[in-house]
Amino acid sequence: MSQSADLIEVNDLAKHFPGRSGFSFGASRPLVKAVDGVSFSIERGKTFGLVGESGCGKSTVARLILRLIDATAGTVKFEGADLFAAPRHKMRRMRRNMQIIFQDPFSSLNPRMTVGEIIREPLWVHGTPRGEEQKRVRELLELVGLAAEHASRHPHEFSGGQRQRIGIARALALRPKFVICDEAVAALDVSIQSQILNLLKDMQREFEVAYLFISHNLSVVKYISDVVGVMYLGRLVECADKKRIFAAPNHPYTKALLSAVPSMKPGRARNMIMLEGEIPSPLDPPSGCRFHTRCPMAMPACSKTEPKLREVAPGHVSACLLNDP
Amino acid sequence: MKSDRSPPPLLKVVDLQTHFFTEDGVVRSVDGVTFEIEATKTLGIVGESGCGKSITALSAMRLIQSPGRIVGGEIRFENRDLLKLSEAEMRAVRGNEIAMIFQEPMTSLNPVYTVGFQIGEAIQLHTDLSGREVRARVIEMLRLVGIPSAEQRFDDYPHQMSGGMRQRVMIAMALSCNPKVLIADEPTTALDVTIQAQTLNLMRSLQKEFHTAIILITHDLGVVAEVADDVVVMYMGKIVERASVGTIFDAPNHPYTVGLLRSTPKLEDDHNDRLPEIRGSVPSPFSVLTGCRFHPRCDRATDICRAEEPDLIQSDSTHWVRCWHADGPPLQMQSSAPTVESRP
Ligand SMILES: Nc1ncnc2c1ncn2[C@@H]1O[C@H](COP(=O)(O)OP(=O)(O)OP(=O)(O)O)[C@@H](O)[C@H]1O
Ligand SMILES: Nc1ncnc2c1ncn2[C@@H]1O[C@H](COP(=O)(O)OP(=O)(O)OP(=O)(O)O)[C@@H](O)[C@H]1O
Ligand code: SF4
Ligand SMILES: [Mg+2]
Ligand SMILES: [Mg+2]
Repeated sequence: MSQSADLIEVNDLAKHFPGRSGFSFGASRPLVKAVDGVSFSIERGKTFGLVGESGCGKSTVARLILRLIDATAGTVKFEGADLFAAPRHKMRRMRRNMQIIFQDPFSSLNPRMTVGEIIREPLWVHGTPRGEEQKRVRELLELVGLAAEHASRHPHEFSGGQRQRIGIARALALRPKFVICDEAVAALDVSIQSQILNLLKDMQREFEVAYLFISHNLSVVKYISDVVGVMYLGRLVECADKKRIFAAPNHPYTKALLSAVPSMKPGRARNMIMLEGEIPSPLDPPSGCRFHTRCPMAMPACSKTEPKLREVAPGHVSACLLNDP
Repeated sequence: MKSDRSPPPLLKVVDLQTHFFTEDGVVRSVDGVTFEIEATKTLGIVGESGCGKSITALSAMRLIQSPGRIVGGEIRFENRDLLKLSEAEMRAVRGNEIAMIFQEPMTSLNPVYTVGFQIGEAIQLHTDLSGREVRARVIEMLRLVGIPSAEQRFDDYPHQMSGGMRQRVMIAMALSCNPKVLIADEPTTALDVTIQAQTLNLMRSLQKEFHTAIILITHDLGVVAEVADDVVVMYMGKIVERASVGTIFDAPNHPYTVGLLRSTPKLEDDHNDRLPEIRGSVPSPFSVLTGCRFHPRCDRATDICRAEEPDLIQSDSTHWVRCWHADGPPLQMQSSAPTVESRP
């Protein structure tokens, strides 16, 4: 078993969906290149924040890592072992170490099950001894700030924040090493959101769990992440240590994204980089740099040459032709 | 463009009460809400989900449906009480003088009609322009809200547009009759930040041009800081604090407002200690709470808070707070994290 610090290594990951054949008849159906050559790694016990606009491929990356869908290309390694090549029984063992928390606490919990059953289910599936189950459920409920009595209630009896706590208890039931949070706080009120963010951090400290934290809220990502990756139309365009990327963003898209976040200081003039135009369709992504149609810095070369991720500082990579020598 | 506006305020909501009479009991969704707004100004309404923001807006438009009912108060618009108008008179006000952008854009655009037709319908209802003039006006509006090749887009169906474009169509539709008041319920919540920035800019420039008063409902404090002149903070159907935007962010006083501001992660913060929290959660709308509705979650709460409901008290010319201990000690939230640094 590899002892490298990286728990998860994603290499050149791609997913091309067959496009809906609404516009073109017969012939070649267009491909939606939802994820197109994405690489990054996540260290044990650390949080990797993944940001980008709606439809850029964040959830697809999550589903690929969990093997909920099959990749078109690329590899994902978990503790050095190739997930996509793993035989079924091995995959099962690895899967208990990888969990996901979804955005919608309302639809992701089975309404017919009690909270106790919901949390116990992963324990059953992975064969925890009967006697121990009850105890674990109680511990988990208390861990996430609920009471042991809550085990016999049903999800509809809880508030949104409480339901998200149930989702977290369930995800943590098997002490996973890796948890994906896909917009896990997006549906929550601000006052509840901070409770859940604190809880996620406490759990990380306690169990050394690594997170892939997907969100479109840059302030939340800044708060919770150690490393941040920015996606645009299926590509990772920039990735760096959290401090670095927020203090010295390199890619014009990252710069625009950061400048568009409303500041909590009224009346302060901001240097907003206003992007023109719409996000292009992933069915027909622009040639060259996919951002060139909206990029305020675009040069003639940008519509022809596809930029590669280059190191612009130690541990800081960015895919922009402006960085080419 | 309508001229000779009566002096401010343009719209004044006084002690509005809207209740829902459900089988499980009465929900006092809006319970004595008072605010006013002038032309060319933006009033932000913020607060937790379910606190009554949308119901306040729908009440002002008189669009409350059973089992809900406006049970008290006044909605004064240019010296008329809208609650006293006949339904026919109200129809002339709605869309024409007060327009609304609804919280769910997809449910308010009809999927079987083109966007051009739908905007045109709104114009036709309130003017006596000819068919050709209506079309020209629609195209002008589409252009105004920044939709490229507006002539071609006229014939698009809603599903052929991106979320950002649909939101701009909604804005075009709401503004097509030059309303004096625009109520926008979470107009940018479903949008990406770059598109949100475009949309807010657009609303601002249209507001300058037409002197529109805007009531902006949002849960995003950043959006409020950016566009509002005045802010109303609601909690469980009541206004708990009301002030100019500067006061709300620099010298908030109500424990709920203070908690909201402190618990929001901010892009300009560099720490990553625990976030301050507001403990607990919002009680069920059916629960019968005595005293201050915030007391179960409040760090300042004392016996009087549990026994008696405080009034909304004016502390200076532009600042109202509903709290027994409004001049109490500065709040210690449950964290050592640095707080809003900009307090004077
Ligand atoms: N099963 C599918 N078939 C075809 N296209 C798909 C499928 N799943 C996703 N897509 C497309 O892939 C692209 C990426 O989708 P994905 O859900 O990963 O985006 P996202 O970054 O998570 O967006 P959001 O922030 O809105 O959740 C989108 O264009 C989407 O329409
Ligand atoms: N048709 C209805 N029947 C019963 N109660 C209702 C009805 N519509 C709204 N309510 C109640 O009125 C209260 C206020 O709802 P409102 O929609 O105004 O909240 P909001 O502040 O807009 O919340 P959000 O931020 O989630 O949009 C809530 O407690 C809600 O449950
Ligand atoms: S009245 Fe009491 S409980 Fe209510 S906000 Fe003020 S201090 Fe808190
Ligand atoms: Mg997603
Ligand atoms: Mg609402």
